[in-house]
Amino acid sequence: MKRILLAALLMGTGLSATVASAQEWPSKPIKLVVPYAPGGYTDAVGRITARFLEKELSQTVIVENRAGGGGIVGSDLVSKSPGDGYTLCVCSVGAISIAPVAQTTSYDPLKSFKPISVVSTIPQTVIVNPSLPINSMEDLVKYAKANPGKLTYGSSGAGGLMYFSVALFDARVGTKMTHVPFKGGSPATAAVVSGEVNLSFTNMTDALPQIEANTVRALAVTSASRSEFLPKVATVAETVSPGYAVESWNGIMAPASTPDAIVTKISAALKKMAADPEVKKNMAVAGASTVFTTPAEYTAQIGKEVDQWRTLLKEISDKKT
Amino acid sequence: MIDVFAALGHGFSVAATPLNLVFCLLGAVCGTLIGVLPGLGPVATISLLLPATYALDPIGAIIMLAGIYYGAQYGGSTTAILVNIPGESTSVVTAIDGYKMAQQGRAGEALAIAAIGSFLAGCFGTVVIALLGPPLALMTQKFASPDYFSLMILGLVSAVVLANGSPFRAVSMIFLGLLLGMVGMDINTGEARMTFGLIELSDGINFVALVMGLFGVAEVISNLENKFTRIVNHSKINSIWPSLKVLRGAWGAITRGTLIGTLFGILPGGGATIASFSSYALEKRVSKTPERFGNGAIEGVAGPESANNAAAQTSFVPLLTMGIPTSATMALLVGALTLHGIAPGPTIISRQPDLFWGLIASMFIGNAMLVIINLPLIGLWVRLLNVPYRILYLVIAVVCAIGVYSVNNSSFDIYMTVGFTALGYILRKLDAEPAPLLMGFVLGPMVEENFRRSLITSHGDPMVFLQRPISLVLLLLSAVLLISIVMPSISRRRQEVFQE
Amino acid sequence: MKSLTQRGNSDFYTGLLLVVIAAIALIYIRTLTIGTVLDMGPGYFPLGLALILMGMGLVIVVKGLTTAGVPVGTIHLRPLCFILLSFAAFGLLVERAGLIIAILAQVGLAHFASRETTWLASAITGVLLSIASSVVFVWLLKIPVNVLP
Repeated sequence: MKRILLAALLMGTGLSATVASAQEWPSKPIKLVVPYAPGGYTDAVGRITARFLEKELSQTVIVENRAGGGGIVGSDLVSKSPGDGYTLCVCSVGAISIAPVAQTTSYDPLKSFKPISVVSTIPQTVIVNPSLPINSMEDLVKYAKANPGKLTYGSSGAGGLMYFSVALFDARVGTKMTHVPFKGGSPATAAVVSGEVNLSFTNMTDALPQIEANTVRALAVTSASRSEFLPKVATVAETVSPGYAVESWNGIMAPASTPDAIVTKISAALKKMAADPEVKKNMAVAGASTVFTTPAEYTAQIGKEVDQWRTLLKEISDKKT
Repeated sequence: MIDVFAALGHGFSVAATPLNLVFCLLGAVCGTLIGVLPGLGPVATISLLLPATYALDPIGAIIMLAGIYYGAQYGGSTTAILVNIPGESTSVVTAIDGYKMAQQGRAGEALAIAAIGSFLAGCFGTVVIALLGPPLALMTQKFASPDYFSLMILGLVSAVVLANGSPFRAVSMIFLGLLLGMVGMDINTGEARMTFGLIELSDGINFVALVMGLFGVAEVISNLENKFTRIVNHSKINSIWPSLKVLRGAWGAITRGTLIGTLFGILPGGGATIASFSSYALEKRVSKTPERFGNGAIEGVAGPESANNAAAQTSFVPLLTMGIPTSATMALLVGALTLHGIAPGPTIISRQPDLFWGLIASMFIGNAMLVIINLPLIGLWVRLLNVPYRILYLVIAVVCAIGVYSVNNSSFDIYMTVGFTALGYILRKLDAEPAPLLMGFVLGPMVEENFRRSLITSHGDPMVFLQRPISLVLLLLSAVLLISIVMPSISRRRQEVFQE
Repeated sequence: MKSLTQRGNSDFYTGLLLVVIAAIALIYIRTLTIGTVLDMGPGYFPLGLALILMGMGLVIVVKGLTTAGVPVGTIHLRPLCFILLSFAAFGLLVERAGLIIAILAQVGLAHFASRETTWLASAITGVLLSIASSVVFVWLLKIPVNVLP
């Protein structure tokens, strides 16, 4: 029992000591929580970030994978961590902008966190199985309208961006396609290759190698502007659905109670990271563009996205009733 | 064919550079270590050690990380045999007869056969990747959801064969496992199911927490009930080397297990698990003395261990030929390659021949290293059983707790272990076997996922399971297996009734 | 080590256990959409499984009541409780107080699970385990956990 008391005491003093230490931050290893399983795209971004920050801040940065609930478990954990700058999150659009709207989360995307900077963006790519007579977005819309409900699309599961990007597309252009959920984006992409599903709005990381090998046909990217990796591929917005823009991002967020002085320091480091050629090269292999935003821009972006998904969900539920 | 050998020769020239040999050895040693430590799986370890490989060149890094993965398969059987703690789903069946053998003082024999079988199977699997990788990958492309569903059914039916008691009770345990497998988020709707409102359960019950509780920790508790001298029969510890007679008995099992593992390992999802369970079921079926199974049959160790090692090797096929990762470990290797500036895809063989053939060559080298590392270690492991149990059980408990924690860095999983230990202890007292439960738990989510997906893609036509040839064959196989299980038990019951 | 007097047999209690688990599952499945064969909701599979499990459980209960089966093994509370407690203590302490304290606490509690342990041996084991675990798991395998508070 004495030991436990001693431990509690030590923890208490540890906490109060860190509050005053914004000046000398970082004086101990920083924990970078990746709310997804190791091996995925967010994990890669997290590790690239950790590698750069470690050099830049001359302090160990540990990547900690806390997978679960489509990123909610890890994000939740960070939102409840002490705001001392030693616990950061490699958050992503799914758990921050979509999940709080689509389901109930114990955190509020704008109140529970201090967004610091988006570090990478990655568009979804519309890919179809090459055996289908669909060569463009116009073809896709025509085909889908002629055969309502017949086209199947793979997703990483209900509630994920792959699903919502098609749901938004369906709502905008008036098509109806059948949702086939998979356990993750990678098997969904594989199913387009094997022809088990007809198409998918897949993230660039999974799609790029398959597009290069011609095992799938790329029709468009979902971002507002064309991707640097597939400059010949049009955007959904410029072909069939003006204004359509869905982009997956990963950004560094801190618990809401983190002092501004530390946020500024991290922001400065991330600004340098966005200009680092090696980081850019590594992000490019994952199909991601390296990005920097100020905390204010980041906050505004999340606000905008939350509105977009809230509107879409209302549209969908209105249609159902 | 000549091309393959030329390419493989080139591969050896890549893999056999002193530096890459060191990485291969490091991977093998590290893999053995985490394989032996229960709970610590290749996924957690590779992700934790990934940063250490940043400084290496990509080929060296991937050789080492792959070595961790297949090395862990070698070590995985060790705790299953010694203390009844299967580290992962593929060594669950190994524990059934392996642990019995250890209790009879035949731990050395079981470990040696497991290592030899693993080595032969690992080498065979690697040959298959080199010679048949691309055509086999095309075969996996023919598999769609209905076929996977039928494969899962075959796996579940094999789980009934595992049981030594009444098949009806075994089936009830499978259903209990299936139900436990349903806990978590429904992928079709994103709704939480039976999670008691706990966000930690949204990805389902942690497998390691379940296995440690049901098998390892429950076993510790029931050992503590007895006087410690009874736990291992020391009087009969034979030579650790299997006799020629034992080897001859295991030979058929190793061959069959290797073939099953090679084939199933290529398939995503539960391929390796189904391979090890099916191999056990097959051995029990073809054996002239099936009653030995569950009481220390060497084939029950040889078959499944060969199957899971062959599967560990061939599970690289979809990744290396199509760029499609089929398991969490494979996804992690994709991530590792990405971080090293290589995006694996269908073009990897033509674009990165050094990497592809170098990795394959390193697998031969790695398997040879593993068998050399593992055989002498057997003596050490067997001697570990001589450690007084009053000390050993404390070690087991602590290592289990750390192992469970390390999977998700989550204390919650340890509390889950507490719960499942209680369940495992009760089941043990009720003479209910946990192995079928585990198979249901592993396959449950996949059964549901593939069943629902089949009906969505077939637009609601249930005949799809019978119309697809692969699916039909698998279902027929399941039916034959099921009948062969039920018939003897019915006729036995008739006899009993008759005698009464 | 003579077993206590038994009421019922293992079949009866196995069936009862299955029925109870199925019933608990059904309570939680109640709120889920069931759907139809062609349009399955999240509750379809769990409901089916829980009902089958309950059915099988009932059959086993009946079998247990009507036939003489294997008696239930004796439950020993001492090892059960202390081992479970030791794990719970580890879980509670590992993040709050670090690995070493968690291990010492776990060994301390697990010590009581057996009557054959001696304080000295357990204490030495605990200390050696904390050192070995810190080296192997934290230093070598880099598990993200604090060694000390």
